[in-house]
Amino acid sequence: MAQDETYQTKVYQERGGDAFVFGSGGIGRIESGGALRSPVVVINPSATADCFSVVELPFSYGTIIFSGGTGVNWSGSCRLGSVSVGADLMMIIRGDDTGTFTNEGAVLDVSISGAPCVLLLSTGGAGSGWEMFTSAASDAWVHIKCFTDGIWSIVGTGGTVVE
Amino acid sequence: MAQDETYQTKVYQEQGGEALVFGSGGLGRIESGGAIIPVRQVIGLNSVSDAGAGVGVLSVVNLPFSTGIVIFSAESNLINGSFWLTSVSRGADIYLIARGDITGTFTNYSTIIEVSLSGCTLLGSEGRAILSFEMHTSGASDPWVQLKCFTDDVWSIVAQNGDINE
Repeated sequence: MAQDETYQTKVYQERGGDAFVFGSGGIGRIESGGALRSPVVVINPSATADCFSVVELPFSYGTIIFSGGTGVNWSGSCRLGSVSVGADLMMIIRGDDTGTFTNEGAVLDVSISGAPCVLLLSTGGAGSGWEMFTSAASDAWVHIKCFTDGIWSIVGTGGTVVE
Repeated sequence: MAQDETYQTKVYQEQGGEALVFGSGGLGRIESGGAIIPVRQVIGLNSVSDAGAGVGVLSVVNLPFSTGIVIFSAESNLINGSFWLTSVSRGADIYLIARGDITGTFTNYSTIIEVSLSGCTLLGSEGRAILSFEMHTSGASDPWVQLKCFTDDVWSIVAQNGDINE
C-alpha cells in the first residue's frame, strides 16, 4: 500500500528541526514528575564589586537572578533589548538565597534607553524602565512577557519595585 | 553521500529519551487549538467532581509532585489539612489551591490548609525566608499560591490570591 503523504500528526517537529509544534488539537501533557524547564542564569553570583552593568540580557525566556557577594550592597543596571512574541522572563534581584538579606541595600536599574523595544508598565502605560531594591524585609522580582513583537509588558511584581 | 553525523537540530530528543530539548534558537510553538497541559491532582477528590470526599482532616503528607496544580478540596464544611514542601529542583512550578467548592459559593468556607517545610527553604512573597503559610477559604474567596524554584531547594512564592497568611 502506498504511504499516505498527507498524514499529519497534531504534534510534530517542524521540517528543519528548529521548532516543535503543537497544532490544533495537539497536546503536550506533563505527567506527574515531568516538567518543562526554562533556563536560569545568575549574574554576578560571587563578585565583590559594588557596581556592575549588563548591556544586554542573555536571553528573553527564562529566569535571570541578579545577586551579589555576601554583604555587598551593590548597584547595577541592565537594558531590555528587542523581543519577540512568546518571550517570558522573570527578573529577580536577590540579597541572598536564604532570605536573611546580608546585602540588603542592593539596587538594580532596568531601562529600555536606546533599545528597539517598548515597555508597558504594570498599569499598561508606556514607561522607560524601573528600579528594583532589596531591603531587610524583601527581595524583589519583576515578571515580564511579550504579547506583541517589540513590546515588553510587566505582568507581575513583588517586593520593592519602583516604576 | 555519507550522512552528516554532526548535524544537530535546534529541537531534539536527548539521548535516552528523558528530555525534549529546545536548544538555543529552538522553539516550542503552540498553534491555535494546541496546548501544553500540566498535571493536576485534587486532594480529597470526589469521584464525580472536584469537590472533595467527606474527609474531616487531611493528614500531613508531602506534595505529590513539584510541577503542576494541586487542589485541596473537600465536601464537608470544615476540612483542615497540612502539607509539606520538600526538597525541590530548579524549574519547579506549582499552583496550590484551597477550594471551598468549584462553584464559588463557598459551602465549605472554613477550610484551612497549612503548608510547612521539610528539607527546603521558602521565600515568602516579599522575598524573606518564612517557615510556613496558611491558606484559608472564606465566605468571600478561595485562595491560591504559585510557587517556583529558581535555585535548588529554595521555593519562592511568586503570586497569591485570597486569604493567605504568611
